[in-house]
Amino acid sequence: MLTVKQLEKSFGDTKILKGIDFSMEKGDRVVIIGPSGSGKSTFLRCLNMLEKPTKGTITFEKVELNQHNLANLRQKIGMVFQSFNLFSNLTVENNLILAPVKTKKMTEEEAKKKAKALLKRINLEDKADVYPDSLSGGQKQRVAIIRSLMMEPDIMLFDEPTSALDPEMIEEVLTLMKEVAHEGMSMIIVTHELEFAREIATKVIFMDQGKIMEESPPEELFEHPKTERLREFLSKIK
Amino acid sequence: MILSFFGELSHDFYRAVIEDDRYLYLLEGLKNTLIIAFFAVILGAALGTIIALIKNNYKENGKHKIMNGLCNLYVTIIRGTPALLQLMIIYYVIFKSVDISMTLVGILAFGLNSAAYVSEVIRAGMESVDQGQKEASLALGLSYGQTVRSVILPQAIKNVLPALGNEFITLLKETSVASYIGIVELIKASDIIASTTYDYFFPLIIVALIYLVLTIGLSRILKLLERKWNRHAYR
Repeated sequence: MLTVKQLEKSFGDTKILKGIDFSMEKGDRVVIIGPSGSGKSTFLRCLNMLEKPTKGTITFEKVELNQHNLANLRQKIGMVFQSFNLFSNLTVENNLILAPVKTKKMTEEEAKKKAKALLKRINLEDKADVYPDSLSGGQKQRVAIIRSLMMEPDIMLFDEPTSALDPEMIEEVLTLMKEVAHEGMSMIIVTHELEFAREIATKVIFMDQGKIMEESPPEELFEHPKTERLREFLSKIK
Repeated sequence: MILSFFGELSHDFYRAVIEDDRYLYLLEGLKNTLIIAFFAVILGAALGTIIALIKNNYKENGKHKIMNGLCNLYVTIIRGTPALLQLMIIYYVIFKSVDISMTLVGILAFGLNSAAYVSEVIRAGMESVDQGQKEASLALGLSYGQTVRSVILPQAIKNVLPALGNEFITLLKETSVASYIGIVELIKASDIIASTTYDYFFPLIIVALIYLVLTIGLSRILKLLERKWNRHAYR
């Protein structure tokens, strides 16, 4: 479904990603872990070209991403950010319906109906007409997740979705992510929540210094780390 | 003694305003000041926004390099020369042999002038919008144009509303320069009256008061607008 070949990314003289090969199938849930500065967020942001790769190719559903098909492919690649990024000038409902309506995926009526159903699902039906500023962090992130779901994406990218949350709000967001996962959504998640990774991932990737160091199912990666770096990283986090 | 002082004052006031219906000059001046300021603001805001969008699009996506260069040149020239000079060039050079309404010349000159300043304000406003807003919109599959229209520009304008308000108030006062080419706006009106009565006191004081009322009124309206916009709990 998604194949990455020899991906490199530099900011000025600093090489952040040093040749990444990666692929995943539909229904896979890949969790990326690694120390800060290892390039995991940059890698994720390259996948929908929020960062333009310096070298390499990204092929999504057999189509190679380029400037011309980017907007179309992005409609199928959902993304959830660390800092939520709900549109602060729009109400919750308008945050949800903006993209499906503007990209002509749905009529306004259909979009509103879907928005209502999704808000109901996360128990925020009463927040449809408020602006994002009056929501708590956990509520914002849950709205951001369903905003992404509105486009009915084939895959969702999560960039440290719980890192900006107060501890008591992390659970509600993880719970929603697990629900989405169990519905069969393909996901790539950058996170520091190792428990969650163990529970949800079909594959865990350990990145360090711009490279993929290890890649295996969660039990194996957490129980039998092969590299010294991963052992060190795991011992520091635990 | 005091009585005769007030008597003289009221006599001067009578001569400045009421005698020979001289207040009609003031009304004419007020009308022209308002017309020029109003339409120049609209022209300035529209053109200024377009310039800001072109410059922003170049900065973000590298598109329309030549247009961007022209916009930069335009802003540099307008901001680097006096408004009076621009007005004179438009009136005495560009429309030299064209029969054109003086009011229209005023609207054009001040609108074109204001556009340069407004474009800088809006451009700064667009740059002040959090990057994450743009990224979220692009990640959903919206085009850059849709992102600007639905997300960035509304937030940018809200952020710079106070600065835009100042710009409009400056423009309103700046229209007084139009008296130089003979447009009967407020300053010219007071000048006409004073040159027949040989007394500048009341014509100038009255015009000063009118300007004050206009600018205070305008800033009140802008404050109300801001507050209305801020009532939505958003940032």
